[in-house]
Amino acid sequence: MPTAISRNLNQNIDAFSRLFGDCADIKTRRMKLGKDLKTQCFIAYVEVAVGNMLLENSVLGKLLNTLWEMPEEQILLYLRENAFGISDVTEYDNLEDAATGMLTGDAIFFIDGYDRALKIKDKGYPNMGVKEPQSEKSVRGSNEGFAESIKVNTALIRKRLRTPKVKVRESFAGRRSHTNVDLVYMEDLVRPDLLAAIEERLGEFEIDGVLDSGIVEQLAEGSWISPFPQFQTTQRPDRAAMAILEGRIVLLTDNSPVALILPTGYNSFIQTADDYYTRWEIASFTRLLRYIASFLAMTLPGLYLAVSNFHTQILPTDLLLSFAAARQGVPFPAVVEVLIMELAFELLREAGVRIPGALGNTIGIVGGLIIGQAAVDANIVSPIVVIVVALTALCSFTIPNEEFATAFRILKFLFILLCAYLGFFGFLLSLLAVLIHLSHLQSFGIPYLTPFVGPDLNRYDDERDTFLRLPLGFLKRRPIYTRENARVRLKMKKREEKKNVL
Amino acid sequence: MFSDNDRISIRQTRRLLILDLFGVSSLLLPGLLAEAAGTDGIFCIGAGALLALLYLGLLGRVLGQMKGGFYPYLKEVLGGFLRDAVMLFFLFFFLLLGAFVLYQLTGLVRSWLLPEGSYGLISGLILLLAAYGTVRGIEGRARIYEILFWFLLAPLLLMLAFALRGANPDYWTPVAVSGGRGFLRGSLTVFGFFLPVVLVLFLKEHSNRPEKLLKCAGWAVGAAAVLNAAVYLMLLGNFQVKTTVALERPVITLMSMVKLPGGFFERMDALMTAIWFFSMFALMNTGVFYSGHILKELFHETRTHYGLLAVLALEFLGARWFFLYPGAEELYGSFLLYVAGPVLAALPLLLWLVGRIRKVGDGGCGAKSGEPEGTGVKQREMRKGAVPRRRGEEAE
Repeated sequence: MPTAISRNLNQNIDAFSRLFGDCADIKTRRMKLGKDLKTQCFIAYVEVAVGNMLLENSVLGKLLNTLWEMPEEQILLYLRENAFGISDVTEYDNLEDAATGMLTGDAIFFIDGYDRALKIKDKGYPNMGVKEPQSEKSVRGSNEGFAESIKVNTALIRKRLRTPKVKVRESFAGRRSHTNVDLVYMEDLVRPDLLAAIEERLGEFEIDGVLDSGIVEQLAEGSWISPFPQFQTTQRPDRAAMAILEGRIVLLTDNSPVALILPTGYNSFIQTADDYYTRWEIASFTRLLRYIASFLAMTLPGLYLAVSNFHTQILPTDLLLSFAAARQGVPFPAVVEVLIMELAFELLREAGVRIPGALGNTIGIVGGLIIGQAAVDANIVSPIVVIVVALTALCSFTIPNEEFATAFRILKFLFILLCAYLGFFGFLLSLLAVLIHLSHLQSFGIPYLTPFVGPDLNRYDDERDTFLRLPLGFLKRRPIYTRENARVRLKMKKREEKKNVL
Repeated sequence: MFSDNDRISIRQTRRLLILDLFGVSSLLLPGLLAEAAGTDGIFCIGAGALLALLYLGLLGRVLGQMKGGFYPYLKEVLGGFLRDAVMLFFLFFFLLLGAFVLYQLTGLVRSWLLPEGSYGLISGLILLLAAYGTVRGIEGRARIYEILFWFLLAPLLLMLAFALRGANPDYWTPVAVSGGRGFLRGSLTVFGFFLPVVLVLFLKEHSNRPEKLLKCAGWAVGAAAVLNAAVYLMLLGNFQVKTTVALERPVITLMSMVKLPGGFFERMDALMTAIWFFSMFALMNTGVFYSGHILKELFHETRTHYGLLAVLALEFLGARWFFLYPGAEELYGSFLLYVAGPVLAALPLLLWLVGRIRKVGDGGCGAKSGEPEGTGVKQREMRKGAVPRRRGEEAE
């Protein structure tokens, strides 16, 4: 039962103090307003979040200055009629909502004789600000990355899509964290059933705290058993804006610099923002490389084991002999060699992430070189295994999305084990198992392998942006994620007409 | 949304049927054809394909009378008891088909990939994978083969093109020397391998454009026939008739011998086996899927997978039987020739005639007005208000 705000200021102060007892970070201040300083008021705010509230240039400061110079009898009337003329003011009629409002990083203002509380916007909680995304570097595009404040992030999207059709639907997740979760989408492009589906999923869980978008992602995804992510993640506002233009939904979570994009699929994970900023030949070439890399990142060590242990007849004799010579003196079976190197590499990667600053990169390079060379010198592994593992790692780094690449890194071990035991049959089994899994997998009702499956649903247009990225002039229609009657995104004026105009 | 509506596109249907028809036939037909008709085998492929197209024409008549799924149609035309009898026949047909293909697939793996491998382990693993591929229904199956199609066909066509260099056209002649009996036997064998086109009866309820189903099946028969003819010509051109008969799986032997210009690999057998592995898996999966589907229908199973478990056990035992009992293959051949072939040929004719007499299709068979179309299981699920697999997802 919410506690209604009383006209009696002392009652409100008592109730508010009880609510925030033993909260040293919550600052309160009693003041007197009006020409004769007879009207009492009360301000509460989170320390640090509201630091300059009394300054001239703050909203609250301006309001207080006005109220100080006003006759007492006009104050309440002024607040009733003009408070909402001040920007960023929200009115509450109960104490709990007012408290929640204050905890978003703003100030709460009570005044004697007035049964409402006003939330007045200030600078909010401290955050890291806009910075360059760490995991999605761009050669040509913008270097802006998402910040940790959800308001900044929505603004970064709005900055790129300046149309009122971009809608931001706000909700809160986390019983105790009250974390802001925004759904950003283009009103006339998004499929209504998709919007309903994500809203339903967000309503399906109740958790005590949402501290990052990763928590929302795991709780709202359809298949928890799959290693493949069913939301696309991005730290780039331009990538998010691009997704919105495709009729997809961007889910932003407060305190997280990572936005979630839905629905998604294999092809979306391979695409990068740069693909659309560079010429189609370069984009197609790098896209093709990434597809091959995603396959090899999963299969290469397994294939090596299958060929070297079971099907040596495939290889030319010279190569086979050099393989055998390289393995001379290595006491372990090939599968143990591969596993030792793969695990060593995973350890290096993990250490590189955890060690602070530039030292992390150094550990990766030095560790890789030294451990690799030492392992070969000590006859623990053969040079060919070092090459295979290094090439696999290189392939996994080529995949543009970290979560997606991790799925291949995990599946690589399935391939290693099955190929070590069953040779090329094991390779075919694992490949078919992954393919079956992917063909069953969906992201919000869209098959994960779209547009390789069901391309006819969008007149085969989506196939133009898969292995190859055709020239932009050919990508006239939006992908299948968009609602059906709004798929045209590009209309080319005929060159002749253009010449006439010029 | 798009998926989970139990419907597949015409492109997916065509690809599924081509792989179903091509997989085992390309592996086993050349030897059987060379034995029956020698160099005339190429004409047998044409005649067999023609028979299959005629058969499709008959199936088309039945499809014309069907308004919903095959099971409600059977009930309307034949009544409950005979419907169950026909379904039991199809259950037996698909179970044997699945078991036979599983046996062949396991043999393929043991011959080319894992000679020391345990028969039980290999067939068990393949079956487990088939079960995984089946549990999410026809959509998942169709997507797998829609993806794999060109990955399988492109290397095959490439290898066939390179095999052409070693082929001697003199080995394709003389023609018309096999005699009528050999030609007939060869043509019927081809027709036997194309019998899975009967699947169109089961596919209608899953097709998003049922009116195009017959044409699509016709394309699949044509494509499978052309591919088989190309394979057969390459084999004759490289091995002649006698060696083709003597080799167990001549097409893989041929592929393993093909040298790619500038090629890195010494031998291609392990790599080329992948093509047949995947396409035979498609047909075996078809056997498992439809056996499970029919069991579900017969026992009104809606949400559990007991039927599938029973099918897996029976397929495993069936394949084991083929492996252990030396005369099993011959017995299966006789079953196809004397039981399945005639029954499958006569059944559509019978259904069509009875359907005409009972005026089925005029007033609407299968789904009555106001009732959902589809199989009994699907109708029961819909009547119970069973939701699709994921919340909030509706068929588009």
